[in-house]
Amino acid sequence: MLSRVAVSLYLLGRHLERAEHLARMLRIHNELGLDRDIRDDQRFWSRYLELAGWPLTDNLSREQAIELAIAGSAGPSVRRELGDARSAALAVRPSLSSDVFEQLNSLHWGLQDDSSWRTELDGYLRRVELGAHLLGGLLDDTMAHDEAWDFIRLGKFLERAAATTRLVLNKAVELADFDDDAVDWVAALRCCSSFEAYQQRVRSPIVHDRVVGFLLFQVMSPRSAAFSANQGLGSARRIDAGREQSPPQSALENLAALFREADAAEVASAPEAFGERFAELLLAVDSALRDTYFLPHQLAVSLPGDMVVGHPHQQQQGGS
Amino acid sequence: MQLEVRHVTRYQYSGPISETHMEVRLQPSEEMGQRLTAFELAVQPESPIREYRDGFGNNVHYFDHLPEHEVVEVTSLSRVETQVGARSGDDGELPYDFLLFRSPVVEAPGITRLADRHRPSDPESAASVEAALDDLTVAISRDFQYRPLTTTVSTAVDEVLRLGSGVCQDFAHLFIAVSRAMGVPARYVSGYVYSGHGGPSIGASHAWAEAWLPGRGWAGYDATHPVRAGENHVRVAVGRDYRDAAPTRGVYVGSARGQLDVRVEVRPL
Repeated sequence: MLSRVAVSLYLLGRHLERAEHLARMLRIHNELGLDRDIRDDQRFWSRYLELAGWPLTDNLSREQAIELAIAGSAGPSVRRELGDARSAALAVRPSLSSDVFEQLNSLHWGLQDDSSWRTELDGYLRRVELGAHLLGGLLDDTMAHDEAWDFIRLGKFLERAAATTRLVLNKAVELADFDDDAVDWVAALRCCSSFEAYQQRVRSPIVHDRVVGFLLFQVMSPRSAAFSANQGLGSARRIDAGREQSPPQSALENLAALFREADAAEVASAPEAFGERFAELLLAVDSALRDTYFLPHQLAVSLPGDMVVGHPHQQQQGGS
Repeated sequence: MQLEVRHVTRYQYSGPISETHMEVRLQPSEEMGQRLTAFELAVQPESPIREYRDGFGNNVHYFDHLPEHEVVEVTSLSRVETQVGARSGDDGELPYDFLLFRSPVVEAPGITRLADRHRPSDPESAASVEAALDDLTVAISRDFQYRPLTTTVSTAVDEVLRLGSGVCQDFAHLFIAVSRAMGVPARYVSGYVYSGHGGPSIGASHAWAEAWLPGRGWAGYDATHPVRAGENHVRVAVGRDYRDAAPTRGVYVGSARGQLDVRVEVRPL
């Protein structure tokens, strides 16, 4: 497969997953915001945007935050992600089934000029979520489960592992000093479509480290970071088709091992350290994918909000 | 004075990186009595360079390079004529925006004390403000030691006060902080200084500050030397502090660590 095709398929998976995650997170935050003290409003919405991958901004009203999250172009937004997903799909149209392309195309155009989110936010966001679920089903049921399919899944599950981990660690830091945090942890579970699954499997009240453990390490839950890392590893193995251990497989195995071996209580008490380790391993996966599958790529593989590093700065010190 | 400046910034990485996005402020300005007669910019790996003018009036060039690479090199060659025509420019800017503090130019107790000591007797009189700023320029140069490697690009002025030393960037920040605390708008200037006494001068890029004199406009103060900015100074970019005017800035994707090497050569023509 051409590296350009592999990049576009991978990006398609990432953008679709991100659009769905952004929409659901916004819907849950909007519901959660209704019970908030109005004085806390700006901080609440700034934190939401930070979670969505935007740079930290002060003094943001609810309306501004929602506008950015739906239609913003300078950071991750629902419309931008769907637009980028469609552009990626256009570049690899022959690798996709017509059903997949047509659903993505109509989802994109149906939401692009629709401003009903200003009055009917919940309905708009549910359309995005259901549209993305429908696409997920079409990808699985109308496409051959071949290399192209696995590149889409690789993008999708790496995006999901990163989004879930970021959400959980961010909440763990934010709620570290609160005893009465059940409402927020329920919201975190709902942001990851995992509230009901949690209730079925964990027969205890909502407690901090149980939720962290469920969202990060529960391999049965399709939304957990551990599950996502395992799925990504499975795709890399199939792409390599029995060839000996490739760099992406090794890097993904290290990522999967992080979730297999970590301890929920430990992560809950020191989320920053776990976050650093995760970022390091994710960067290694990213490098391995570029070196092995995407080289020589002429397309940007990173998305807004991804971890990028600053070039070193020069100090101005001439003329002593 | 006619000067030629060659500025090479080289980033060497310990392994392959990709998706470099960089913007550079390296083109000397054509304001404040300075004329640009030639400017060339080259980047390695070769990439198309685009440009825009930012909110402070600086000429910004930017480029990106997506495939993997281990070296990024930016070379600029400028020829300028300094001190031709009127220096101060009142072109409808909003100098009072330059009274606001933000890190690294923070408002610290040490800054307030310095401001109290140098405050102009009549803030409405350009002569009085000018004299106060001259005093401040000399005081910073006298009381603080020029010592490379004691500070970094992000060192805030309270840390410079504590250390009692720094480089020209820190002295410019310090000058700006005290000037703002006195109610005099001040901004950061990134550029070059010629100190070669006839031959070429080799080193790094330079920084100083400009303050707003009532009725006269901006005037440059170089607390490192300490002098008013004159024909040896080549202005490149201005901003609220270093972060607005940094010669190069950018991001990349990858886990390799970068090493930076800068070489600036200024010679008279």
